[in-house]
Formats: sequence, C-alpha cells, structure tokens
Amino acid sequence: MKKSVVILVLASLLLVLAAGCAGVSKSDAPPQEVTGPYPMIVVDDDGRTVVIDTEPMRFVSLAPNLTEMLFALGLGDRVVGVSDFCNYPLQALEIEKIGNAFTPNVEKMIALAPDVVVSPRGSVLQEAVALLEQNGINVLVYDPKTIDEIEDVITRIAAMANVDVNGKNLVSGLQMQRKEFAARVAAAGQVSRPSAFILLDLDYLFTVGDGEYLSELIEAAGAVNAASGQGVGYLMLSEEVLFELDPDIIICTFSMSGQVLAKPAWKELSAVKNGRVFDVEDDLVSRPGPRVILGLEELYRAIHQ
Amino acid sequence: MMKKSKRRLFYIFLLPALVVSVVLATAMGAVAVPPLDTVRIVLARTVFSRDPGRLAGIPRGTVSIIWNLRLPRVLLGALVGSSLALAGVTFQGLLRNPLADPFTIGVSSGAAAGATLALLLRQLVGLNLPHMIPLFAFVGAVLAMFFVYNLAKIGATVPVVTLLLSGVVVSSFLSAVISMTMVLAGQNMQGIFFWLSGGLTMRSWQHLWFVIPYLVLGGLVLYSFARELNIMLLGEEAAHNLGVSVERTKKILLVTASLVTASAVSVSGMIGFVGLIIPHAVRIVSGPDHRVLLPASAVVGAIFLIWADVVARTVMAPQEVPVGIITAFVGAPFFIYLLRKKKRDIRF
Repeated sequence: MKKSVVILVLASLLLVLAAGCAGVSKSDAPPQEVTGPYPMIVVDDDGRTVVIDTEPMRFVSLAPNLTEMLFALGLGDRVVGVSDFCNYPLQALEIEKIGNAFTPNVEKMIALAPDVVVSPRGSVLQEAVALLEQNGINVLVYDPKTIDEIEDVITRIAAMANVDVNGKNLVSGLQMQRKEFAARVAAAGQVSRPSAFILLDLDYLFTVGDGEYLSELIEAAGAVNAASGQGVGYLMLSEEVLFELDPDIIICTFSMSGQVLAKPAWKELSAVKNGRVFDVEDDLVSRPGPRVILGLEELYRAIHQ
Repeated sequence: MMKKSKRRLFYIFLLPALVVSVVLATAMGAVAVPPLDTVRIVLARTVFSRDPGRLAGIPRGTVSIIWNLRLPRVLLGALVGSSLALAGVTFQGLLRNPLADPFTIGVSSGAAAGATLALLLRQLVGLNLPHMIPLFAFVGAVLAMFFVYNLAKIGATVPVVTLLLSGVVVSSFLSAVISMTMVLAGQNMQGIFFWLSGGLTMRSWQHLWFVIPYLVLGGLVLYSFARELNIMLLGEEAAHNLGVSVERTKKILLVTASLVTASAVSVSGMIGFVGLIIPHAVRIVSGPDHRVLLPASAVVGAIFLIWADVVARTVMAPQEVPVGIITAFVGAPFFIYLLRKKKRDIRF
C-alpha cells in the first residue's frame, strides 16, 4: 500500500514538473531596437519559422559547407563556433570547436551565446537543435543537396544576415562559372559519356546512387554515374555489380587509387586495365558549398584525362 | 559406444550437402549467371586449366565474377562457418556452459578492438599496410586471449568460473575501447559499424589463407581431444579421476579454439550466432558425443554460413546486407523450431 502511494506522489510530481517546463516561454526578453529588416521572419529547410530580432552578429556553424558559405559571404569574422570537420578556409581552424554532427556539444554552443546556429539535418543534431531552442537560441537548418540548392541557401543566408548584395554577387559569380564549365564540358565533345564509378571505401563497396550530390557533380562534369539505377543515396553494393557495370573510370574520394590498381581480384576491370582510376579531393566533391566549381574541376580532370 | 548409423549419416548426408551448397551458392548472386556457365568457368579454371578454349562465349567479366569474387567468397564463408562452429562446440564443452560461444572469452572483442584500431590509424594517420585489418584483428584477438587466460589463472589451474568472468570483464572493457574509437573516427565510422556486423564482402582468394591453416590444424587438434571433451562433461574432478590431465587439456583446447576463432574473425568480422546455435542444433540431432559433434558441427556451420551469405548477397541486391544480421535473423527462428520439436531430447 505505502509503496503505491509513494509512486503516485512521485508520478504526479513529475507531471507537474513536465507541465512547468513546457510552460516556460522562449522569448521573455523585451523587443530590441528595430534596425534594418529586423525583426525578420525566416523559414528554414525543415519548414520551421524562426523570428530573428536583430542583425545576427555571432554565428555557430555545425557543417563544413555552411561554414564555407558564411566565409564566402564575408561573414567570417562573425563566426564564433564551428564543427570539428570545418577546415576551410584556414581561418576556420582558429575558431572555437563545438564538436561534430555525431557529438555536438550543446553546452559549449550555449556558452558562445550565438545569435544564430546554422545546422545541417541529422538524427543526433535534431536533439541538439531541440535543446538549443529550449535555451532560447535561434537555430536554422540548411541542407542543400543539389547545385541549385547551394545557390538558394546562399541567397537565403545572405538575406538572413543582411548581406544581400554579397549573396547576389556570390551567386551570380557561381552561375557564370557554371555556364563556362558547362560550355567546356560540351566542347570536350565526347560522342558517348564515359561511365564513372565513385568509390568511397576499399573494405566495403560504398558508392553514391541517384539523387546524391556527388552523382549530380559526376553528370555535370561530363560522365554518367555508373551506379545510377542501383538505388538512391549512399549504397553498399555487391562487388559483382561493379563487374557487371564495368565502369570506364573509377573515382576514389580518398587516396586509394594505388590500392585499387594493385587489387588482384579487380585486374580484369576495364578501368583498372586502362589505368583510369583517379583520386579526387574528398572535401571538394562531397560538400555542397561555394567551392562547388572546384569540385567539378576536380572531377573534370579525372573524367577527361 | 558410438552408433555407427550416426557416423554414416554424417558421410551420406552432410558432406554431399556441403558440396551441393558450394555449387549452388556459387551460381547465385547479385548478377545472374547461368548455372551451366558457372560450372564451366570453375571447371575451366581447375580441371581443364590448360585448355583456354573452354571459356569461349563467356564474357570475361562473368569469369571474374565467378572465379575472383563469388567462389572465394563462398569458400571463405564455409571456412569461417566451420571455424566458428568448431570453436563453439569446444568452448561449450570445455566451459560446460550452454551459453558459451567462440566470443565468450573475449577473443572476438580483442579482434574487434584490433580492427577498429586499424581503421582509425588508416583514417587519422593514413597508415596503410596490405591486409592491415585482418592482421590487427588477429593480433588483437590473440592478445585478448592471453590476457583473459592469465587473468583467470589461479596458481596452476584455470577455473571455469574465473575464466568466464575475466572473459566478460575484458570484453566489456574492449567494447568501451571500440566505442571510444568510433567517437574518434567521427564521420567515417560506418566502416567500423559494418565490421562489427560481420561480413564477407570484398574478400578474395588471399583471405582464405588467413583461415585454412588454423582451421585444418586446429580442427585436427580439437578432434583428437574429442574423447577428453566427452569425459570432461562429467565434471573436472571426475575427469581427473578417470585419468585425464584436466589442466593441460583445458589449456590446449582453449588456445586452439581461440586461435581458430581469431583467424575466422580476422577476415569476417563479428559474425554472431553461428558458434552458439550450430553446436546446439547439431547436438539435438546427433547427441552430445564430441566425436560426432565436432566434425558434424564443422560441416553444418559451413553450410549454414554459406546460405546465410547467399541471403546477404541477394535479398537486397544490388545492395548488400552484413551477413551477421542474417545469421541472427535466420538462426534464431530455426533454433526455436528445433527446440520446440525436440523438446524432450535436449541434452547437454
């Protein structure tokens, strides 16, 4: 009997506590002086609406591509925290690290008192985002997956940070470079596009299928993704399928072309026989960010060598 | 003592089943190859190797798929399944514990820690040696075995209880090491995840040589101790009184079974369930005599893993599923079926 009474009391206490927590309102600070376009209502890639009261002066970025965007927009000196993986531009290495997409350090982020945290999507990050919001920190999720979306996200971040002009210049620059690049690919004028297989790992046959950023880059650089039609997103394929596809080119995102060429079981592959196995810089081809053209160039070199 | 019919069953049924499994499994995969072509390719590369004309009309890619990818993989699956089942029988008999398996005394955790360390080194330092992961895994497994053994040793004896406990403790510690490594590895931890799930993907002929010596020599040693294992089921004291030198036998069997496990795990990762379930399943049918149990488990383990890998290769083709997931998925219901059917006959 006594035990059940104790449990009942504890349970009701918990309920009250939970209700109390839910009741805490997010913004009890007085509205600040209105400057420029603020307060601004911003909608992020997850469809969440966030009100930004004043021009954000302190950013935390949880993804390398978003960090690169902030710097490319001339907002580098406003970035006060970055993820462990943010290694470009070099100044980003000097900035306070706040963990990575798998082990984000919410405490550290709160201590940095950012005006806005920009974050990619991610299962662990989702929890961090909720926690940050409960602590009254604005979080905006941006997760570009295509070249067009890169330009879109850049434009929206520029608007949010009140640097629209920088955004316009950056995007029009990108568009011009894309046009030039497309013209160059067309001029290289191959009768049939070579098929290229992306190799992400040597122990497991990880590659990218349809709908993935890297797949789009491959196509834009003048080749066909050999794994197209095998599935969507990142795939672990059967080794046999690689032989059936027998791609013209194998592109490695780590320095492992030497090992691929030396692999006895693979010596019958056309790409291996013809020596068309190349390494590309992983950061350039895997980050949907402002260096997309460099990523395309990297693939172009491999494809048209 | 031993029923002749049991032994006959083994030769008449199990060995042919193994051969048939190898042939069928080689003919099945993500890429469809006509069974006849499969047989032609294998024959052309083995029996008629001096006659290249025998491969006329078969694309070279198909030859590569069968000969360089599929056959070595099927054979490796057989060897690994055999090794795990043999080690499982030995550990269960030796430790007189139905829950024991090749991974109980920490060998697999040692291998996993070695493999994750290799993956981390490659990623952080760029260190890249040929066969780095199997080598690191093997060394890790052997180190873990020695550590557990010496931890469990009390004077000149190694009591079963301390052995089990130190195995569990060392395993927990090593799991922490593995988790820590995964945190350090950050965005590239999928390699470690798949290694821990166990798999036979991307394996080639060379990997067979990591397993064959240990399986052949280790299997012979274990089989030669079948009688001692039978007697030890009566308890160590009884075994001692019946003239078995218990501590020496235990030491030899522990080290042998651990080495057999280590070699298998080093090339296949953590394929669970085979070493636990196969010995029990075979025991239900054959009875507890280790002279039948050991060879029969070796063959059944091989057949089981061959087919589990066929499922892993084909169920989501062209994508692959780690075979460790399949072994548990298929093995558990199968075992429950056996348990229900033969309820009254369970002996240990």
